[in-house]
Amino acid sequence: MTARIMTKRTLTDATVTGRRELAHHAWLIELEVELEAPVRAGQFAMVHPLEAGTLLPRPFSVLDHRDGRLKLYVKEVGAGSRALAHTPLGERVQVFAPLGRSFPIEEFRGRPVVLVAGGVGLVPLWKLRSELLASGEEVPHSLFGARTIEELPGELLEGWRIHLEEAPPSAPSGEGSSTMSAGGGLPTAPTGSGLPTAPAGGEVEVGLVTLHLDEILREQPDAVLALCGPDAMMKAAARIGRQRGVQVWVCLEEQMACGAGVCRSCTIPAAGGRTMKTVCQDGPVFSLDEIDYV
Amino acid sequence: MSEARSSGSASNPPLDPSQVDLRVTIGGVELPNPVFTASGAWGYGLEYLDLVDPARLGAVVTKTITVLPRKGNPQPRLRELPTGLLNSIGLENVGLGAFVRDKLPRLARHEVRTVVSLAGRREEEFAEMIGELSHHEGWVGVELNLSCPNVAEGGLDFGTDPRLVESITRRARAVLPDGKCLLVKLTPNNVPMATLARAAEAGGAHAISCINTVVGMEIDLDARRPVFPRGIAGYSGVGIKPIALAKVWEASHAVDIPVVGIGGIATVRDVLEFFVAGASAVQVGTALFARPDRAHRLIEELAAELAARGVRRPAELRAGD
Repeated sequence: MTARIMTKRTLTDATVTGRRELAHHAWLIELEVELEAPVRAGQFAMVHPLEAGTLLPRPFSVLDHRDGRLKLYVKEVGAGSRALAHTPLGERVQVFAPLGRSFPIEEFRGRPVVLVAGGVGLVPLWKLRSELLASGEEVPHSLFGARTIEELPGELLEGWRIHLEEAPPSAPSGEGSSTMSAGGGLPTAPTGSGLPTAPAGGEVEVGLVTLHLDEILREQPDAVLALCGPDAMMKAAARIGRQRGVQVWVCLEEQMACGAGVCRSCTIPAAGGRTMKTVCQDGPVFSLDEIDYV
Repeated sequence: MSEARSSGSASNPPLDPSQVDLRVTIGGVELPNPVFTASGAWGYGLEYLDLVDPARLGAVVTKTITVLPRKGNPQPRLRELPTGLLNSIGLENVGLGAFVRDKLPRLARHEVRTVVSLAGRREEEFAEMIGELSHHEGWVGVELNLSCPNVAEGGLDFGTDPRLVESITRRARAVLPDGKCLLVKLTPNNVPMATLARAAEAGGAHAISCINTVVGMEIDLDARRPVFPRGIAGYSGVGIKPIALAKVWEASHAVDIPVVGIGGIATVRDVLEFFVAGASAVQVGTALFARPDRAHRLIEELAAELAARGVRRPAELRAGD
């Protein structure tokens, strides 16, 4: 396996310089912070709003990092993420980053790449996609799944094929799959909600994000499959990838206290089940053959 | 001693921080300051070399080592509460062989004052592990973990029986090389702290580490069962500080050996409170997860805070009887 070198970490204070709601209770948060190393796709930051009242920082996958700005896409799921999402502009937060191992982008070069993301699992794959495009690689197959239209972070989804589990109110109810043209029938959020619509030109389909994965992989036997999202989605996609014999990378999430391999709370069984790996340090990006996953 | 205890009131004129003497001696081992990292909260002392110098700490107490590697408990292993953490890690560690091969030489190279936390499944294992350690450099002492609530064998069974505490401590002391210190970490659960502390002192401990986690539980109301597969877990963090202070007070009044205070320490004020309660040194645990350089910051703040209060040595803060 290609060695994935961990990068130099920085523990410092950052200033909140941007916050915008991109989808229902999900925020684009921008932090001004001096990091000693660039953040790569899949790496994460432990972020602790200093006035949050939560004991521990929370791990957030990094959406983008350039020019001293760290962008996170934060869905409110608990006290920590809620506190960060609502930290006012100008307030300080503690940042420890970059942490963990990134997607090994060199393994993706020159090969067809298929990205399957669900929910906030979009974050590392959005970054991976932008890194691949920036280095001149072919446009990856980019599949994004969400439950409802309210969960779509419109401006991040340009170029992504969108799958919704629940048909939007205005859409024709599908028998597992119904494609809506991006012209007239494109579903939009209820008027006046202030929430974004699906991106212009994007394709939206009702059904699981894995619906067409097998077809896509069947045509691309040398593909690399990268997954991040809810466990059930990743496992379903990983099984399809394994059956097709393609290389599969997963980006995992676990509860963690430290982000540095110390607290041992984010451990998962390694392949074979005899030893453990930490999601924070051995991951969060794993090749499917490293871990006992599906 | 009594003279020292009566001095150090808040009305003393301030000192220069350079006049403050933070040194503490445990079993003949002199440590430059009384702030240690607690077992389980700072790994093997090598995980943050890129951020801070572990040799600046009074000591690093390692993650607990067992004879054989342990995978630890199944998920979930950790829950955050408003007042602290519940953990059920289950002593996951690399085992003594890998520790002495991979960790100790690096700890020695970085001149870390390492206190090796040890847990055994049998009474004899503690002494056997010290025997193995005695062939290697890179450590200044051991801390017997007689109080982990998260394992089925050893752990609390040993730590709540004063006779076992005394006999395990005695066996460990008998094989401890000269110039090393022996700490015994005791549980706040089930048995009076004074009883356990006296047992450890009788067995030859150089210091008492007080306290390990408090037994706790979280309930999954929808599933109508405990969150952790083992039911109970170890409660740590700011919520246990009052318990720890009471236990340090009790231990320090029961024995003549130093007491190392542990439990919810996050600020320099917490550290001073433990000194007042009778601690000679402190260990920082849960607070390190949020800020791995917290103990280092406390050392700096401690000298400044003692100087501002006109206190030359932490021991002067101890309350009168």
